[in-house]
Amino acid sequence: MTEDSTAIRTDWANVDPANHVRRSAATYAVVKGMEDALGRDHSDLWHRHFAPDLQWRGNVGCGVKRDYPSFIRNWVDPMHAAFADRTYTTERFVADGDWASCVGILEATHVGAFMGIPATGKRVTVPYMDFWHVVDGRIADNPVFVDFASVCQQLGRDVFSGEGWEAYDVGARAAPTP
Amino acid sequence: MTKDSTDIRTDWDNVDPVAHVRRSAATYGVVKDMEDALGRASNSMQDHFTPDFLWRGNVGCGTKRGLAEFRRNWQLPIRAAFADRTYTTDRFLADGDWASCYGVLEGTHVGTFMGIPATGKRVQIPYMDFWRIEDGRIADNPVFVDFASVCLQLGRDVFGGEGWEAFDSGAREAPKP
Repeated sequence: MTEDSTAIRTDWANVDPANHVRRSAATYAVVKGMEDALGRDHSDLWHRHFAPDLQWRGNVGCGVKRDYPSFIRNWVDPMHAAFADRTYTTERFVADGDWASCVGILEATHVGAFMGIPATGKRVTVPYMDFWHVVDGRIADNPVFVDFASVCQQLGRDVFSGEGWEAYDVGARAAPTP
Repeated sequence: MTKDSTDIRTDWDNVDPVAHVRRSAATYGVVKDMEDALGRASNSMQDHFTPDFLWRGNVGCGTKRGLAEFRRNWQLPIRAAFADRTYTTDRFLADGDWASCYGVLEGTHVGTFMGIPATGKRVQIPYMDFWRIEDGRIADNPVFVDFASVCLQLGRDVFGGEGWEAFDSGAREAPKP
């Protein structure tokens, strides 16, 4: 569809409103169906929501999963091994044609080693942002950021060793100027 | 507007398509103008953000409450650490009063970053932004900036070899539940 062929839609005047809203609603439905399936842990059904050659492209610490089996083996399984009793809360969901995105928080209990930190039984929050590209009714591309640095901090490890820019916010260090 | 009063729009059937596209286009315009100003290293960001807007970053980046803090504790330290900055948006979404994007800031490491003295290296800084527009200005700005990636490019692995990339490369076996 020409409407979504560029990274940034600049020709809003040429968008067909009814078609645009119909496609955005369809994209929302695909992601919602995937999230419902994830929430229910029906792993045998998840493949219905993802393309076989899904690209799950995470920030540093999370890795990049180059197909659906890799996503299950190297993301879903280790997440489930480290964190139990998971609840997902979407703070904001955005849909635009074939693409959608969200800001959300996973809350879970730390039941398995995470980044070398043995299980603490602590309840942690895992902030994330997801972008999804839906192709033929399935998620084909999934750029994502998951805040593992935040999780480490909640488990007592500051991965930035005191150099995090929060120190500017609280006045502990003066912010550099150019 | 009631249409955006919930975090997740489930009632797509009740969306007025013409009004929705008009508002999404207006939202795009506000963010585009802000990014143009940012690209020019403008010091007049009050045209683009409400005075009390919230910049809510991931761990390592902090939270900036209002324009003054955003400028002092984000914009200026970024400019101090990275010169010759270019922003590339890989994907931009607009949906009513909200927009989002992911992109990459490229810059030259000219000032101390996370304790690492200037290397002169060119680095990529991946980011994701969400924006909520209120009366033509950005009022809320949840954001993730991949400082761990920047550290890695500068030779420091903040996760001490425990990053899950090791599962992808087969260097370590991914745990099973």
